[in-house]
Amino acid sequence: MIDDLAVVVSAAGLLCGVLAFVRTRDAWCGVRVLLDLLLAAGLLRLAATSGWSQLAAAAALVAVRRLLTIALREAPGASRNG
Amino acid sequence: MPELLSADLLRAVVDRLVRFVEAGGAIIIFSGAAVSFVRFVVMGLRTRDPEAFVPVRLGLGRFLALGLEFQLASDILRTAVAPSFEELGKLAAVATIRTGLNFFLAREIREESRTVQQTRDAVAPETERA
Repeated sequence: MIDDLAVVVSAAGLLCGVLAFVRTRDAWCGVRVLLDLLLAAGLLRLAATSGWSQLAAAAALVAVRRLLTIALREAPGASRNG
Repeated sequence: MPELLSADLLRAVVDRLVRFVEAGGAIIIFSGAAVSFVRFVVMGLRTRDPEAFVPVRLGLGRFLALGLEFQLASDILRTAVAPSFEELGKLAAVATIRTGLNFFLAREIREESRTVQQTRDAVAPETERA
């Protein structure tokens, strides 16, 4: 059931990310919104993990999202907010 | 000497507690995502300013941090009854991931809050002057 909730949150993240990008014309803003909701989905998925491989996959997903967030924040030309 | 609390009973009680606390964490994270989804959509339809999304993202970050605290609490409870080295290893891995995430999330919330405050402080004198 938690996996289903995680899928719903991921879909919501995609929708909000696209909406934020389309309305603001700011790709960085859209990506930040998408990553935040994908992180929520990853944390939900982490709560439902049982095996080592599932755990490693969930952890890797969360790590990639955090790294991407930091990389985008430090990228030249990225706005501080949004 | 009769046992006051058998190992099986302790395991059953802690298992229930772990499920209860973990479900609480999951509910908080999902509620935060649901509330933020609605606020993102409303904000997206209402404004074209990218900065308008920052308070919503901060709110979501706070929900996630709170959910993580609950999940960490369930990890701590689980250590009371983790019988095998394998289970203890998994527990350590999950707790490490959650603790690291909580640390970075808290730092990000602090930084974003400071940026929002600085923006407000910069805008306030201009508004007063006008």
